[in-house]
Amino acid sequence: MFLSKIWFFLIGVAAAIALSVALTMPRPAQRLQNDVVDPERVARARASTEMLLRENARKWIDLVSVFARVPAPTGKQELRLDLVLDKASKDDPISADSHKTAMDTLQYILSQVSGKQKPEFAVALDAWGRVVARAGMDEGDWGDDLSGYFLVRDALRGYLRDDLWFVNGQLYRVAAAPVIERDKDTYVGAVVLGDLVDMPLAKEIEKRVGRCVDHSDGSQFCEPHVAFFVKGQPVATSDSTPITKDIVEQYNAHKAELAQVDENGNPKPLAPFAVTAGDKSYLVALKQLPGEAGAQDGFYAVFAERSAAVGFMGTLKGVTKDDIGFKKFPWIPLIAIFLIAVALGMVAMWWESDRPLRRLLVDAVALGKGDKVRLEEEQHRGKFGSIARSVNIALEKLQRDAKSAKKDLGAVLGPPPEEGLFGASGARPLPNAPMGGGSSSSGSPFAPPPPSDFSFEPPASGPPKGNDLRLASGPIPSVGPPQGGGFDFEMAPPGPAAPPPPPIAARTPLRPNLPPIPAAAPELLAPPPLMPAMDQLKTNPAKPPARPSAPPPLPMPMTPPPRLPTTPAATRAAPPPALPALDDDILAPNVDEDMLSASSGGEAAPMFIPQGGARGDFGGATVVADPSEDLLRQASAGGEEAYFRQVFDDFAELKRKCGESTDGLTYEKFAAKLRANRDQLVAKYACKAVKFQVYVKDGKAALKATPVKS
Amino acid sequence: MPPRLLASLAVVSLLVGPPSHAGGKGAAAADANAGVTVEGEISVPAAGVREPAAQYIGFIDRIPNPITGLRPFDPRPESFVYLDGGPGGADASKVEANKTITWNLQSETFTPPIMPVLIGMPITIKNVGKNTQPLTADTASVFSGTDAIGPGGVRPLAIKETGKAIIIRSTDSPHLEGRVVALPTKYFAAIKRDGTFKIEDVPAGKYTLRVWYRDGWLTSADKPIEVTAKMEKVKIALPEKLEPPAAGDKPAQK
Repeated sequence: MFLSKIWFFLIGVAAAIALSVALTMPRPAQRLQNDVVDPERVARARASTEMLLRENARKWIDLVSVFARVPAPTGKQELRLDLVLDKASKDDPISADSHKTAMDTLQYILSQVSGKQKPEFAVALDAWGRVVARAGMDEGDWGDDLSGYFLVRDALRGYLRDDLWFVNGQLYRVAAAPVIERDKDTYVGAVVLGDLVDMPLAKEIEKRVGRCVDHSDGSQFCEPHVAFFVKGQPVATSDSTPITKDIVEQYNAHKAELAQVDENGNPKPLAPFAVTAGDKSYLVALKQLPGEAGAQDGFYAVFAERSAAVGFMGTLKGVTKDDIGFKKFPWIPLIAIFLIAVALGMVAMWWESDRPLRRLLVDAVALGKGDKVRLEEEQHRGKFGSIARSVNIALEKLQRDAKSAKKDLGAVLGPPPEEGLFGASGARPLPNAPMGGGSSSSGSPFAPPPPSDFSFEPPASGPPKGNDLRLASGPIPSVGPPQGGGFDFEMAPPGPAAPPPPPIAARTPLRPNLPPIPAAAPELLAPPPLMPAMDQLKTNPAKPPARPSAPPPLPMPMTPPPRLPTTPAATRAAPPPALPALDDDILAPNVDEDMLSASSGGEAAPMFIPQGGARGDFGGATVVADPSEDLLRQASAGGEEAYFRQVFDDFAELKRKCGESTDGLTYEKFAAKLRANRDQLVAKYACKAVKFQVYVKDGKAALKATPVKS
Repeated sequence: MPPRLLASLAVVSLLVGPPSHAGGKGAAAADANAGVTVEGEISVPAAGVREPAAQYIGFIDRIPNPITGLRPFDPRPESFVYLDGGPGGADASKVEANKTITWNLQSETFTPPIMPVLIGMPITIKNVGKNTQPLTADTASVFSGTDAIGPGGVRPLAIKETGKAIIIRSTDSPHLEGRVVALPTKYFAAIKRDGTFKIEDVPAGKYTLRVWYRDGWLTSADKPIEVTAKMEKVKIALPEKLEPPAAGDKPAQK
């Protein structure tokens, strides 16, 4: 899985980098937006506002120029403005007639103008700057002197010009032109037009200098906004903003800077600055208003809310179809990289996961079918090898657990003979194989399997003994009783009994009621054929076992070997009707439990159990004593002492006949062990009773326990 | 008549008229037998007078009208004449009791824009306009009381220094400013729109006729005269360059 992990790591790193880039990239753009684009946008909007105001001022000058020269309507030559003002200039004070005529003239001229260009007011002045008439504002007042206005002074001298007046709390754009008496070509007065600087004007400017967005409700939002201030108060704003106070404060703070003029005498604009109101931040560009309003702290401000942080999602939202079109977006390289990445990942997965998993699956299926007795650990790499090893170890543990009772009984029954099953004949000098699967012999050609992911307590019986056939020689033959070196005490599990082991020849019946051993017995008395691998090991010791660490294979099903003639007692005693037989060995203390596990643990047990309730079938062993059904019933009814005594007597006798020592064999220990095994079997199989049978196994006395269900 | 033509006809003349009881503005009333009336005319030179820098220009620079030439700048509405020197005497500087000079403040203009007064003569600004004007003076001791004058309100001035223009401005109207100049004697007069002036009750003697424009004397226009009973009208042509520079002029501002 190394490549897969590395690949996923690389993919993860690439994804993290891509994500980091995606999250980081908007920030420089945002900074550029905040530091450069936004200020420039506001500054440009302010400059555009200035241009619009200049353009507007020029229109007013043009209008007032025309206004001063409008001819009188047909038939009303008295409404000639030049004549009216010439006459008024000679009045001191201005006469009411002159005022009225001038008023009529102004009204007539104003009626000729319509639309946005219609001024808010018009004032006719005589040659000295006195008001002859006003239209549109304070129409009842006349005669006052406006020559103090620089606009008026200049107009009376012949200039066309504009100005900004702050009158009665309102800001006016004003323009003035001289009125020239046409016949004499002399200046006879001036006319002043004024228009209010109000919200419509601010909105009109905002619309033209900013960017507008139409809302679904028909409204329109434009930005940047435009506002006009005079004497610290907003007089016209395109948008109700909460920052007017802040703007005025900034203006006051920079007033000296704003008063500076360039080489042409134009006030210098102030660089955009930030104003924060609540949770919003605005960029504001200021410039002082020209004219008299400028001298009254008049200025205009163009301001816009700072661009909000767009962020990654905002950037995504801003993506258009054109951005991801084939012409602009590198789809082909991206797809190629994606496919390559996927292909590499899949190859790595197949190489490191799918393929070994399939191999393990095949191996496991073979194990399940019985084609193999263990998983091929060395054929699986990495974790799969560990799994195989763990499975194998688990199998061994199951076998080992099933033999603990047998080992305990062996302690009761006394030590096994020195030579064990093969010790005397010398037929069993097997190589010693350690439990862990690794061969203790240094010449093992097999590499140790990978460590298991599972663990369990090592068997309490200690290291395997030298006569551990299973570990040393591989598969244990499928027939025959356990090849332990001491007393065998088998516990037959309930259920269908496996075919009995091959009979042991030349076993002399130990009880009078046992049938004689058939003629073939002499061959059978010889040690039963061991496992094929054992034989192979004997004949070819140089050849190492196929799997030193593997548990002995117990092929199933097995062909039942030919049965020995059963004793009458065995014939007489019908097997428990519904209880499947269980074959469970209890070993003598000095017999290796691993060896037992081959014959009694797990799936190997049924092969020792007679099928069809054939009691007394001991898989090749000679049954010497099989307590009668009566005795068994007595034991069940509470007369177990007699039953146990009977079994003890039979066992002791058999030992003596087999030439075994009975030293240390006492009835109390024997009975205690029987009780313990009986209780164990009863608890395990929920049976009514347990039958113990004495028989000769491999030339030695052995006991077998069989649960009886009824 | 076009202003250009009027300017070209300007001449300097000195006329000594008969004693006048009417007196001109600013001329103190005098005993008919005590002096003579000095009359004259201040003319603008044909080439015109260099005008002060334009002020409070709007978004667009001033555009001369395309129909006819510009009217020459006329400094006379902001000027007055004064007879300096002479025999002097207590009568020349005597302040008449119970007499106060009233200086009218219209809505947008002081009338006249420059007010010569005899030193010690009480002077009061009267707001005859309809706007309240918060006034300020460049000399702090001029005003007493609050500075704002509502319509119809008056504000006394206390001038303690002669030969200096004290500028009164309105903080609400940048264009609204007036000057008051205290003089040691009462022999002064404003210049009318047509350029004429009249100083009454002047004792005979040698004087220097001086023209004050805005913030100072036009020294180049000084004209020594001798006031006699048969004195002719005095004619003075203003110089092209008004000196001293008008102290009250503000720099050109758009």
